[in-house]
Amino acid sequence: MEQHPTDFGRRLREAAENQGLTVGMLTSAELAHNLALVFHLAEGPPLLRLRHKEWTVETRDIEGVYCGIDMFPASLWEAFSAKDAEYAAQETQALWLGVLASLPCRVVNPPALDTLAGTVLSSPEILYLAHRLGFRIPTVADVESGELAAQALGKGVMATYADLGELWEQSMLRTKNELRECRNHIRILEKVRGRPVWAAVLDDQFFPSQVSLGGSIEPLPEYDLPVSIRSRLRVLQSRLNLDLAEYAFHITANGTWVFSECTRVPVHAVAAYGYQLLQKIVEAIAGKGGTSW
Amino acid sequence: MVTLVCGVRDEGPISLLLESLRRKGGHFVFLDQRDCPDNVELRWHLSDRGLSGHVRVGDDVVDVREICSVYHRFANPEELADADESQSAIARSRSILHSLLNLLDIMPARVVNRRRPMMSNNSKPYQALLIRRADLIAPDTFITNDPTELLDHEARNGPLVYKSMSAVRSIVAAFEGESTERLSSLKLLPTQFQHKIEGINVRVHVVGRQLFATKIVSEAVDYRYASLQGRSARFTPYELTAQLRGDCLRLARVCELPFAGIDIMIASDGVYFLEINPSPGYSYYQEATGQPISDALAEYLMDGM
Repeated sequence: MEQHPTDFGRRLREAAENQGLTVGMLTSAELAHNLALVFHLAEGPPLLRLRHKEWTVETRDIEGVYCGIDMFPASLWEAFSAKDAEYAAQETQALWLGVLASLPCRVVNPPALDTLAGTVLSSPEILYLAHRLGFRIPTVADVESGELAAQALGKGVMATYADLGELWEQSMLRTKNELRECRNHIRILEKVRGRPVWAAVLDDQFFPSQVSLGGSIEPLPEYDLPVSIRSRLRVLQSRLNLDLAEYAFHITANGTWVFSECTRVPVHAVAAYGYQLLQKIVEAIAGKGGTSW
Repeated sequence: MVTLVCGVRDEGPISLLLESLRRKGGHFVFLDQRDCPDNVELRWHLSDRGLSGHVRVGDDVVDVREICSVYHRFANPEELADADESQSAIARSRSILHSLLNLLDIMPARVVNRRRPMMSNNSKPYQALLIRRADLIAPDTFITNDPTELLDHEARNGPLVYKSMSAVRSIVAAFEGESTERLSSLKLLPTQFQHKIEGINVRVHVVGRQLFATKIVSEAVDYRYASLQGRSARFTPYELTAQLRGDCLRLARVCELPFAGIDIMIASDGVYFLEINPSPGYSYYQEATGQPISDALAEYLMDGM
C-alpha cells in the first residue's frame, strides 16, 4: 500500500515476486475508489474482504502487508465538496487504521494512531525519547518570536529554523530578515557537525551505512556500529513500535555518535545494501507476526 | 508546583474545573486559548541536559519543571477566531498551540490526557479493537461500500444503526430500508453499521480511579441530539456493579486515558461498550446529575504534585 507508486515499492514488489509471492499493490486512490470492501468486527476473528478488478481477497489470504501510506488526503475526493472531501478522508483513515490493526498477518510498519505507515514523532518527541535512552542529541528550542531566532542566527548558531505557525513544520526560514519579520513561535534545531551515518533496523537486524569517499552510500562495517548504539536502537525501535526504520547520526570529531532523526523508509540502507536488504524486508513482511484480537 | 489548565474559559468543562481547583485551593495557572496571540509565550529547549524553559501566561511565568499536571481542552484556532481576527493572529495562535502540544508530549508531568492515546477517538473501528483487547464486548460492526452486502447482512442479523467511523461527530441514526438512491451512494464511501442494541444507555466518566456513571433515558436513537428530534433525555446517577467498575477502569487503562467518558449499553444479553471519549464534555452530565466530576478531576490533577 503506497500513496503513489515509488521506486522503493516497485523494488520491494520485484523482490517479493522473485520469492514466488503474489503481490497486490494498492495506491491511496485505489483504496479510496476502486475497492468493494467488507470489514466485519463481530465475536470471532475480524473479517476483511476486498474485491478489486478481477481479484478478491479475504483476511486469511493476506500473508503480509507493507504500508507506506501515512494519511488519505482530502484531494482524493475531487468530486466532493471541500467539507465532504475532508469527511471522506477522515472516515477512510479511520477505516484503514482499524483494518490494518486487525490483521493477523504481519503489517510493516504496524499502523499508528496518527499515521497508517507507523509511528512518526515530532522532532522534540523523538529527541526526548532518544535522550531518555542515553543518546547524545542536538538541541531543539522553541522561542516566542522570529526576532529571538534571528539573534541566534546572528550569533552563528548552525540550525534549521521552522515557523510553527505553518500547518506543517517546515524549515523554510533561512535569512535573518525572514526570521525577524515572523511573529510566530519558531523552532530552532541545532545542526550537528560531523560525519553522517545511518543505521537501518529491521526487527533484530542492523544495516548501517555511510557516505563513501566517492560520495555514494555504502555499507558501514558492522563492527563500526558500537554495541551501546545497537542496544539503545533496539529499545528505541521497540518503544516506537516499528519493525523497519532508519536512524540518522552524526559522528563528531571526538567520535561521539549524536542522534538526529528516525525515518521509516530506509533510503540509505537500500542504497547501500540493495537487493539483499529488500529480500530481508520481504521475508519480514511475509513472516509471522501481527496481532491477535 | 503548579497545575496548568489550557482551554477556553467559558466552555463548561473548563469553567467547572477552574471553580473546583479554586475551591480546593489548587495552585494553578489558566491559559485561556482566546488570549493566545497577545498573552501567551513559550520559550523552552531540550538538550543533553534535559528539558528546561518557561511558559508565560499574562503576568505569570511558569518554569516548565514546576508544572506537575496539565489539563488541556483546545479548540481549533481557526474555529475559535473572531470574524475580524487577522490571519497573522490565527497563525501566531497556531504556532503557540504547536509548541505547547509538543511540550506537553514530552513534559514529565501528569497530562490529562496525553495527545497520542487521545487519537484512538479518530477511529471507532480501532476503538472496537481496543475494547476487545480489554476483554469487553463492542457491538457487532459491519463496514462496507457494497449495498448488496449490506442488505444481506441486515437480512441475516436484524436492525442496524449507522454512525461515523472517525472523530467527526455524526448523529447515530437507524437504518430503515433506505431508498435505492441513498443505498447506491454507499458506493462512494464505506459506512459503518452496527447492530441496533436495546438497553440502558450509561455514560461512565473515569477520573483516575474514580468513576461517575449516568443513566440516560431517551426515546431518541442518539440521546445527544434528542432535543433536535423533538424528544427529551433524562439523566440520573447510576450505580455500577463491581464487575462493571473493574471493566471501565481496565478499558481506560488499555486506552491509556486516565480521564475518559465511556459509553456503554446495558442490554438483556450483556453489556456493550460503544465508545471511549478521550476529552469528555463532562459538564453536561455533572450539571444534569450533580455528580462532582470536576472535583474529582481537580483532585486528580492536584495529586500529580
